This record gives sequence, structure tokens and C-alpha cells, in this order.
Amino acid sequence: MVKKVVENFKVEYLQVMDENGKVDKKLMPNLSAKQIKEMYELMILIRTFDDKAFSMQRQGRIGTYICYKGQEASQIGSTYALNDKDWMFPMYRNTAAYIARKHPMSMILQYWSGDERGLKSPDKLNNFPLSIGVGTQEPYAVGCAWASKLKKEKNVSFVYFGDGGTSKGDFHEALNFAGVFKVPCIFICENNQYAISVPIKRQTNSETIAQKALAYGIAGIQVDGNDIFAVYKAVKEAADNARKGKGATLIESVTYRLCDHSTSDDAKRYRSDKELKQWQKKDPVDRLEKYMKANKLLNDKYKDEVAKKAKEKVEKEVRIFENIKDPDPDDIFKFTFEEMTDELKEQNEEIK
Amino acid sequence: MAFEFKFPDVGEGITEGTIVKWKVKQGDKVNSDQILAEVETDKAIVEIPSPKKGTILKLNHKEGDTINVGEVLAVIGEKGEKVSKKALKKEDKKPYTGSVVGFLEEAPEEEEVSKLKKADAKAGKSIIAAPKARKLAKELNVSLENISGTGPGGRITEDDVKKSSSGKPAAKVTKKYDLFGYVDRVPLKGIRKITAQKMREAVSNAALVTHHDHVDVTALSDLRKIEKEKAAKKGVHLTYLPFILRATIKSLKKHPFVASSVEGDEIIIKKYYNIGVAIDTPDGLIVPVVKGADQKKLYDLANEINTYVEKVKKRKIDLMDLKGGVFTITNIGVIGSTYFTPIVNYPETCILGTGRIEKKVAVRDDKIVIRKIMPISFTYDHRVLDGAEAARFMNDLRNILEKPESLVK
Repeated sequence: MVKKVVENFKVEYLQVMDENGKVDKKLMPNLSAKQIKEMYELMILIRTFDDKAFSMQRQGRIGTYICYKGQEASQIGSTYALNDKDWMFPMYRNTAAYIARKHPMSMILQYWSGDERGLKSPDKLNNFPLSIGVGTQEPYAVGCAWASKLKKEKNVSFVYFGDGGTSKGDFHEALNFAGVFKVPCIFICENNQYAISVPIKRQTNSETIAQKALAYGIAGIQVDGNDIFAVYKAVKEAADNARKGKGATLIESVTYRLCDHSTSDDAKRYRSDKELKQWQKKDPVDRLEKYMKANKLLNDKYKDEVAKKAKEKVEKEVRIFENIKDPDPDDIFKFTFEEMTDELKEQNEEIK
Repeated sequence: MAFEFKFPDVGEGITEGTIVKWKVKQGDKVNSDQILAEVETDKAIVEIPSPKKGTILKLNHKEGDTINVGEVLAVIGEKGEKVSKKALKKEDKKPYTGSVVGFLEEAPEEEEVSKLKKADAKAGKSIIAAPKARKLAKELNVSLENISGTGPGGRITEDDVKKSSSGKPAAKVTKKYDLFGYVDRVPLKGIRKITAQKMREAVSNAALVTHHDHVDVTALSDLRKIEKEKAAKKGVHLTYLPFILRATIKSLKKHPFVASSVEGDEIIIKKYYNIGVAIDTPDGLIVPVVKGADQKKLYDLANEINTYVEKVKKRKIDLMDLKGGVFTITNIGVIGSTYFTPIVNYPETCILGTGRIEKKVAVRDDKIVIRKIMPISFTYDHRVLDGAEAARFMNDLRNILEKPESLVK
């Protein structure tokens, strides 16, 4: 009879920059001052957009909107580490990633006003439409990654989902498939502590989400999701490995949404003020600012300029959006089949 | 022109909110996106930011007031600009533009709006109603054009539809198609419904088996020809059915389990011979019961069956005439078909079906001959009868029908 340990696992956690903006030089990824400024400007742009969009919902100018405040580092750090040719599979909270990947903000507003045309990816952008269904997008990303592998392309696929999404079957199927077929796919779990109102403790009994990767034989790492350098570094390494044929990685980006789940939610009903305040101290934008200030990359003038530019950009996109003509209701019926069926014609008549 | 900021749907489908706190007062200068008020909805307390930069010319409600979606919350414009009286009205029934593109376009004057509304109504366009309200209107045969909505921004609610439909007949409209094409919907009612229930009852309670056989009715056919003429003279229309009925009873008497029913742990063997005869009508199948059929003469049976047919056709049959059967005969042959699998008239346990009589090639004394053949199908409940007994019942029935002389007596 034999009883022995057949496998040992460890789960790594990565933080490059602490809450005060201090970085560990050994861990700091190779980023130029220009690149860091680009990242910062993107973060300010998407935060400005988020605030504006939220405000516009309250003014009745757009419909339900999903805010992402607090998750900027997680989304910008990851998209910044990837190439335009890589394929993105976002979920509904990834508007920031969308903007970073050059999807026009006016179209994003269009989408959140109920006009599906807003999700039509402009040519040459390798962005898939965001997924509203929780945890449905992972298998698509794996399939896409597999296609890249078979075509011997160097693209990776990366997919976003939340902590809640890891309880869905598709997540596990996707990870398993990615492991078995060693596909170039990066799974980015933005663990923002809540699936709407369900806290992470009720979501999984695992200490981390990252460790779920190990069961499927792929790499897994937990990163400080409010540390843009840590997210960047982890995603960059995962992408490098994927391109080298070393397979998939699951990255758990530990973060927090500083806003409600959506414009129809009131997070105060399930989150304490104390908890919120603790996380506000870890605000990813403030943290990067602290770093940049200490490293002479940011002064008040630059900061104001960036804020002003972002505001102008967003306002311009709002104007573009508000001049988009409403879609024709007939479109609902027109584009289901190449030719309208008798039933559709009849239904179309009904709305006239 | 001053901008009227209407209270939007800040949740998903909210209709009203309560003003908790004003963050600005009349005459204040405000920036775009500056918070104007806190409003409590059934979902949350939300801050309402200003959509415009300007001066607050008018705040339309006091703290604690309820405001409906679509009502003017505040008027924002240039300092000293006059506020139109219309904007001060609490109830604003302009078409709901809701949280959609273009909400910020400057609203036309009230008069213009009503003109537009009328013109649009003619064109059948500016009706604001949820699909559910539209569906209800269709069902109640109410025209939406004539209803003025009381919902947010003049949206027609289901209540509005219901109110304006009072007194009108409610015509239930159902879809004329399903996922795959056009369909007709026929209510399952009357005889059809009873048949459906009975059949379901039989199939779910009994263990049904069907045996098939064929009977050489050449002799019966000859006999019937003679008897038919005789009967006609007495005003009786004689079909095959009275012969088959009598033959069945003769065989039933030899096989008592065939005329039975099951109640709990008991098989009830019927000692009376009330035989049901299935009659096809435009409304469905009706089965009158010939009571004490073993006591009746051939012509009497023929008369009784013919009377039932007449009564059934006129739908004047007495309910009692449909009850008390122990066995049923269903003759599909008059219409067509040979073999089939009749379903018992539950709680009866057996049923005989007869098919179309046809001339067939048969072998008699090693010679090929032409004979008149009647297919028969006998369904029984295997709970009370086994195949051997069923076969014996059919053998006896066949023998009697093939030597039919005794049936006339």
C-alpha cells in the first residue's frame, strides 16, 4: 500500500505598486514614461466617461448603464498589455476595456440607450460584442484562441468575466478545454467582491479564484487588480506564454467596484460604508497618480490638462451620440431572415 | 427658450419618485451634471444631475412631493427668462420620450405637441403603450388612438385600456401562427373534450392490446340480402350491424370476462348485455347503448339502432341512452379502413371494431375462391383478459358470423 503526495500546488499573488504608489523595482514591468502617461490618460478618460454616462442615465438621456468605477486599473492594465490583433471577449462591465480598444464612445452610449447598432465592432477592431448573459463568453474565447492556434497566428484571445461568472458551467468547460488543447487564451476574472449583491464568500469556498486554474492544468495567478502595473505585468506574461505555445492563464484581478452594480441598483443595501471607505483608499487612479507624482511624471498642470481633454473628448462623443438617428422599428423584423416571413410581415404590420 | 427637465426613468421601469432633498434653489446658477436633487424611487435614493448649464428658473415640486416620470422637475434657462405656464403644470401629458436618444431636443410648445399628437394619431404613430397594453387592447377590441394615457408621459397603461373597454365585448384574439407557420385554433370543447378525457382515461388506466382477424361473411351477406328484403317490407332498414351485435352477444356469453370492468381489486363481470354502438356525427363520436340487447329480436335491434342514429344526428338523445354499456361495437367499415386499434369505452374493458367488407381471394378445400371478407379488430384490457381468451372470443365470434343462420332466430 502506498500513500503519498502526488501533487503540490501554490498560488501566487502579485502586487507591484502598493496603496501609496510605491513600486517594487524588481517587479516593475518595463514601461516608458510615455507609456505610463498613456495609461494614466486612458484611466482618466474612462473614469470621465463613466461619470458622464451615469449622470446621463439620471437625466434620462441613456437607459440602464453598467458602471465600472474602481476597476480601471484592471481593465486598462490588461488591454494595454495586449495587441490590437488580439481578440477581446468582454462582459457588460468592460466598457472601459472597450474604450481602450478604440470602440467609439458615442457607440457605447448608443448601445446603452437600447440601440444594438452601438455594439457593431468597427472594421479592423478585434473586439467581440459584450456579453450580457453571465459567464457565456468564455467558451467563445477558447474557440477563437483554438482557431488562432490552428491557423498558426500569434494572436491570443482574452476574456473578461466576474467572480459570479466562475460559478457558471461554461467557465469550467472553457478552462478545461483551454487546458487540454493548450490554447492561447487569457481568462481575466475581475473579482470585484460581489455578483450584484452576492459576496464572494457565498460564491466560492476556494481561498482564491486563481487556484481554480490549477485543477484544469493551466497557469493561475492572483493580482492586485487596483494596481495597474501588476495587472499589466501578469497579462503581459500570460500573453507572452500563450504566444510561445505554453497555453492559457487564469488571472484573478482582485478589485472592487466603487459604484452600484448598475444604475438600477443601490449597493448601500448590501455593502457597508466602512468596507466602501477601505476600498476607496485603494482607488486605482489615485494610486497611479501618487506614483507618477513621486516619479515626476505628473504635476497639477498636466493633471488638469488631462482632465480637461478627457472631458472635451467625452462631451464631443456625447454630441455625436445625441445626433444619431433612432433605428427604424421595422429593423426588428427585417433582419431576422434574408426575406421576411408572412408571420414577421404580419407582426411588423401590428406595430404600424 | 428655457429647458424643461422632465423626471426620467432612473431605474428600470419606475413610474414615480419622491423628492427627498433639493440641492439647488430657484435662481441658482448650475453647471451641467451638477446635482439638482435627491429622489427616492422604489429601488434607491438617486441623485439627479442637471442636463444643462444655466439658471434654475423654477423647481416644480416641494421636498416630500411625489413626481411622476415625465413630469417637469425643473426649468433651466437664462436669468430673467420667462417660464411658460405650461411648464408649471404638474401633470405633463406629452408623449413619453423616456430614456432614449434625442430626449434633450428642445420640447415644442404644448399647442404644437397636441397638433403633432393628432396628426400622428391619424397616421397611427405616436401611440405610447407597452406591448402588453397593446395586446390587451387588441384582445378587448379597443382602439389605442382614442385613449389618453395616464402613465408616465402619457403612456397608455393596461388600466387605461381596461377602463375604456367597459361595456364592449371582449373578443379573444389569438395568434394565427406558431413558430413554424400558420395555424387554426379550435377550442377543445363539447363532445371533443369528453372524447379526449375518455380516451386519456382509458389509455392511462387500461393495458390495451388489439387482436386482428378476418371473417368470411359470404354466407352472412347472402343471408342479409334475403332478410333485408323481408325487413324492408316491414319498414325496417337492416344493416350488418344487428347481425354482428347478436353474434357478439353469443360469444360474450361464452367469455364472461369480455363484458367486465375493474374496480379496485375486483373485476366486475356484467351479467347484462347492454351494447354500445359508436355513431359518427359532425360533432364527434357518440355511443348510444342498446339495453338488454340479448333479449331483443333482430328487427327490434335494427329499429333501435336506426332510431338512435336519428336521435344522435338531431342531438336529441337522452343521457340515459348513453350510459350503462358493458361492451362497444364500432363499425368503421361503412366509411373505410380494414384493421385498426379501437380504444375501449372506459370503464368497459373490451371493444370490437369492424372494417370494410370486401371481396378477397381465399382458399377453400385447396381451391382458390372469391369470398366476402370482413376484417375485425378486438381491443381488450390485458388486466382482465389474456391473449388466449381474447383469441378464443374472436374464434367463437368468427364461427358464429360464418354460420349466421342462428342469428336470424
